[in-house]
Amino acid sequence: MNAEAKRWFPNSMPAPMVDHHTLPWWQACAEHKLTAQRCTKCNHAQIPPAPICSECRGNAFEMTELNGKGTLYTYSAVHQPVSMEQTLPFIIAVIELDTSGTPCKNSVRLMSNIVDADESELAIGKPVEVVWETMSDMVSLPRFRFS
Amino acid sequence: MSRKAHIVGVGESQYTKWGKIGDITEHALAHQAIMKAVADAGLSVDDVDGLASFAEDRNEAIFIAAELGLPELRFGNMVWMPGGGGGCAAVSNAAMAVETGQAEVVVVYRSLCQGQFMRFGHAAELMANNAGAAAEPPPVSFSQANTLMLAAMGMVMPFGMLTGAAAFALPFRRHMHKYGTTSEHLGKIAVTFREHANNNPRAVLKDKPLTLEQHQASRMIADPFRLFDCCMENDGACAVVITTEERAKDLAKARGRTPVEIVATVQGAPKGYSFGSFTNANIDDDIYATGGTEQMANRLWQKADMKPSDIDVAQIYDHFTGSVLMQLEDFGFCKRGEGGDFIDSGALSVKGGSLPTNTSGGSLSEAYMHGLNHVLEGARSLWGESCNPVKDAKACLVTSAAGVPSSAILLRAN
Repeated sequence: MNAEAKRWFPNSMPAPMVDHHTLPWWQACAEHKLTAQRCTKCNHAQIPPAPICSECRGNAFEMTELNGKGTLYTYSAVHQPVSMEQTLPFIIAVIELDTSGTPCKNSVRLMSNIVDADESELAIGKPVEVVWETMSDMVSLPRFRFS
Repeated sequence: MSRKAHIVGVGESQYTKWGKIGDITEHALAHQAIMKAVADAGLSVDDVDGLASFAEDRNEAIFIAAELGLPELRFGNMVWMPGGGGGCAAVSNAAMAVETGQAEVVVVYRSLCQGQFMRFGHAAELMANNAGAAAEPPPVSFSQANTLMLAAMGMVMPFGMLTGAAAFALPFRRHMHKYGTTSEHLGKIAVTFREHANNNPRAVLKDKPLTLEQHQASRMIADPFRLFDCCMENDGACAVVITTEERAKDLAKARGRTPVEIVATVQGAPKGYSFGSFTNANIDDDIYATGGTEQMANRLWQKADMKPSDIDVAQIYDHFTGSVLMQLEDFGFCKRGEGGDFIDSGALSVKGGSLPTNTSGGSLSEAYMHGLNHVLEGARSLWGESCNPVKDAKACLVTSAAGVPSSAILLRAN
């Protein structure tokens, strides 16, 4: 089985709800590119993408591809199902994404999941790397595993 | 004479486990609470000219006013601080209306029939209902977010972030990491509030004593929050009547009560907070492992010219035990990171604690009314009408939900 095709969550999980500003981020995800919206005026990186830079109020942006590495900022092993079909518990995690090697002046965090790990392995500060789950031709989700 | 806002009456319907109230609609339940609160104040429904609520209340003021036959609606208001963050803000807005002369008597109300609508904690059921009965579900696709809230939630829901338990577990997990706070600290909060509720005939969990061992053995919901760290989901309604000092003095005298002044109110959120830890992974690191209410708390103390040691009794929003602990730090009752020690000291108990807190049992054990019941208990604790009276209590802090944009009020018996 192709590693890319590995599945952790059922299709009955909530699908992304997008607006004009967040759609490009999800479209990059579909190509398995993890990005942050970078203000071209002050290089502030933000997720989710927004119509204005919260630091300098600039409104010109580029979607900057990140290296997919990060650290675990915080987490919770959730024992209540979101979809009736999913395996419990599942791990909701906040990932501090590495923006080194890009013009971004700050790191930026993303709400996501830790996969392929036991609860006993969870610890704040541990390094992680992105792993993609292809939900459909249109939707792929960036999840993370310990690196 | 002064138009300074005072609380003059409180009232509630029966509180039950979610889904137990099916023979009366949610807005009819609101009427019950409003009429009881108005009667408690010694007023008539014909005296009411303002209505305020919060948390996207389904029972709009214009319809409640029409149904109750209010002679004229002069103030109708809904707070934008989301969910349980808005309870004290609704009181604050009512106080503004009274103090600026827009209205004379404003009732703040909250009615919740979770059985008739949806349970906040049961995302999977909600999703299943929305998905309909399609035999062959379509491939995962995007849908359009029609509101800013849905756009924000739409970024995190695909990862399973739908419930408060998960949303508020994230900052508390970090608090544990930074300060060594433990699940036992949380258990002591739950046990203390249950002890208070065991004296409260209105409490849904009145006859259900809770031990620390039971707490520690209860099933995990969203680690580190166990079942007894989470508030209930309930049916019920409650209401609070607010009017001017001039009227309040006469009404209090007639009831043999001390007038209860709304000394100061605050609402808001830190920079960039949006929907707090629910949707925002990028809350400032200094603020992430807190209730997000420290700035607001400092403003409240400054506005009231009071300090934490002036408070005799507190009603702290308790959707989750961890949020209580972090708010106690935010409001300066102990230093940052020392919330666990403060809990260990027995501070929150009405039996000799330095800060008797949630004397009705709160959302963990009295009822989950999005925290408006905390305001009712705040007034009762200063009138000497609490089921767990704090002797000679003169000042009470009431807070709304932490971890999301929030609000708070200071009450004083004059």
